[in-house]
Amino acid sequence: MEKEKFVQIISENQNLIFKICNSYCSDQEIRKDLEQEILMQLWQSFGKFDGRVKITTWMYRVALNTAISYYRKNSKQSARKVDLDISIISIPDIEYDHQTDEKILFLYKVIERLNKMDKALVLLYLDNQKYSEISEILGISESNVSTKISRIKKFLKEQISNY
Amino acid sequence: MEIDDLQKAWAQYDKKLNENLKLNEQLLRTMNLDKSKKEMNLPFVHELVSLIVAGICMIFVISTTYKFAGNLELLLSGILTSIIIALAFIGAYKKIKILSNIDYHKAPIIDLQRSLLKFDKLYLKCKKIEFILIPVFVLVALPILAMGSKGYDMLEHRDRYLAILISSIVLIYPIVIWFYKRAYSNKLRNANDFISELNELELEE
Repeated sequence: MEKEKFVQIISENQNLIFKICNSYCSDQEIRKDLEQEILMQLWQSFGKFDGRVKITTWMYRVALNTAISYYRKNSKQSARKVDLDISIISIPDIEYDHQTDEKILFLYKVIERLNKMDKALVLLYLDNQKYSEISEILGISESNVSTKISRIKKFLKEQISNY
Repeated sequence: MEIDDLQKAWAQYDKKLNENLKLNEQLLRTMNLDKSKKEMNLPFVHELVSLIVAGICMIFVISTTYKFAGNLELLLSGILTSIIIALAFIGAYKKIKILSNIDYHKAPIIDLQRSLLKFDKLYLKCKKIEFILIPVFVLVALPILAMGSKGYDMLEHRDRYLAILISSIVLIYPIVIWFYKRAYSNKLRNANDFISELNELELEE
């Protein structure tokens, strides 16, 4: 029963995991490992989820913690034990929209250049998370979130002007 | 292009992902989540085993030392061995304490990284002490362990003592280095990458 509930929650929020994996790993193989690692960590902490925070806040926290702490070699070992060589979350047929896709590609390229913490911040910012929620997920103060986001916005503007 | 355009594009992308992403539910179910849980914490399991082994060894060494307390050389060997084992026991206990407090669910990212760094610092300190103490441990532990387990007086057979001592040291170092590299160093490298980011954040606060 718990497993069913877990599958449903993952199913409803799989885009969150997909975006985090894409932002932290450009290599498809590593991305698959990270995806499994995130799902594993989510499953492990699922029993402790008490509903005091929003489900997405909890998922962001676990998924970003995992992505930031992730190290390929370590996770490869655990992934081999799981023994899955295909993605659990896949994107089979997406409608092509040249303009939007170009912007997304550009955003992913910019995200790739950021450090691990800023990657998390920009993802949360783009996903319209409130500063208070970002602060709760990352464990830094709201004023710090605001400072860092202003800096990232400045960086984004610079990247846009060079585009 | 402005930041607002990017945000709008991201929102559209999110919507598109929502509509198109496919979760392979069967695969998620078959992913042996419960079993793999045990495989996830190699350092933790290693420290737990070290703690138990050190505890058992300490009881064995202390009782043997007590039994042969009349022999000064064995008494000294027993005391020094017990001290080294006690150090290993304390180190393992401290590491377990830090590792068991790490909680992916409740810890915000910064706290998690702090805990990992704390663990890594302790691990490095223990590793350094361990590397220095390996030859000392083999040297002092051989007589009391041989006497306690086989009733064999190693100090009476100095040539054999020296041969076992050298071959043990030659064997132990590569094994320990290999194991630590596999079980710990990757995490350590990753956490070290974070030091600069943490420092930067703390300076801003």
